[in-house]
Amino acid sequence: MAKYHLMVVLATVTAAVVECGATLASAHDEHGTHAISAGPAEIRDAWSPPSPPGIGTRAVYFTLVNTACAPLKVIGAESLDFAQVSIHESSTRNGIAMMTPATQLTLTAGETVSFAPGGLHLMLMGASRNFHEGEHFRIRLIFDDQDSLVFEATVGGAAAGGNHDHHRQHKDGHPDHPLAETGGS
Amino acid sequence: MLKRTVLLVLLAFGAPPAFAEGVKGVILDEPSPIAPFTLVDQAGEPFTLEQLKGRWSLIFLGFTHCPDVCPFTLANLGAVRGELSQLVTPEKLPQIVFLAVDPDRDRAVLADYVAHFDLAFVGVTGDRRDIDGLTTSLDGYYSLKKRGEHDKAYDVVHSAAVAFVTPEGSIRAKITPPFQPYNTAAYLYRLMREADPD
Repeated sequence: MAKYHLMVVLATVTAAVVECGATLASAHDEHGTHAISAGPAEIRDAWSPPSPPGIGTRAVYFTLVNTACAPLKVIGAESLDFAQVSIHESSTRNGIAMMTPATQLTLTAGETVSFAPGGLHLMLMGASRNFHEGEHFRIRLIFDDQDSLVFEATVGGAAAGGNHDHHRQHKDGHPDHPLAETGGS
Repeated sequence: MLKRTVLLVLLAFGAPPAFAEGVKGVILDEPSPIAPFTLVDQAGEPFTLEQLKGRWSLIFLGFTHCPDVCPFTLANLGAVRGELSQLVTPEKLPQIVFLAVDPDRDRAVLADYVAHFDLAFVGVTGDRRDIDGLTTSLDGYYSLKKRGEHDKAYDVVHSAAVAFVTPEGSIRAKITPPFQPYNTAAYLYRLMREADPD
């Protein structure tokens, strides 16, 4: 029994190591125009719950994957559609709900972090306009090495993020103003 | 040892479906009466203790500019109400009351805010003293984290619990996140059945 467990653990570790190396090699081919830098990051299923009219504050949720073999440090976020974007974590302590700003978030090699309701989220304040269900807006996630990743969040339920994956772009690979193009429907 | 094992097995497999599975709640031994209060609802109509009488209520304390916890909780309470609608007749469905504790920012948007989640939701707010009165009755807490007179983007730290209030206006239980809709509905339904087996 113990041997079996050990084997499972070993297999998992091996798989993680292979994936870490393989991602670096294949990501560029798989995703064409999405240029990948050394130490790529990936965002999956970015969504933002529909908000009532008149409320300029909203949250964005997604899954952030550090597909690199090195730590990934997120130091902030921005969006042309919002006056301020910050990384926040909601928590409940002794029955009291509170939000704590996170100035930095470090993902270890291969780590996946979920930004989900009631926990980590991007808090966006000062919306330039109301966003309706099905619309998208762009956010840039900024890393400590001056690199960044631009992704689109879809307004809707948890499934709204769909299967759209966004990969970290190298700074040389950015379009001139990637944030300027706001999606919509 | 054998006896204990049998008991554990019974607990794990022999018990009826766990009504409270995954529900974090505190049931009060003696329902705690809510003191009279005077607030206004989203339409500007008076909302007092009388509006809590005659039906069960779920009261949640929060603020409209809350980006994460409040929308998540209200959406879940809507889903809980949806599950309960499978178990009780419409007139017995609990009303969902959102106590908005940040009236300076809440008042203007409260009607749109509650309607966004569910047209059946009631949003109530009022003067600070009246908000504090109901907050105290709920054994709740909130604090506006204003960083200055002109701060318009402040956070509000507040109780995460939802009070389950009897048709007599007394708190029967308090539940805390996560509010898994099906299990929470089953939990509340059991309390309603205990109070009124018909």
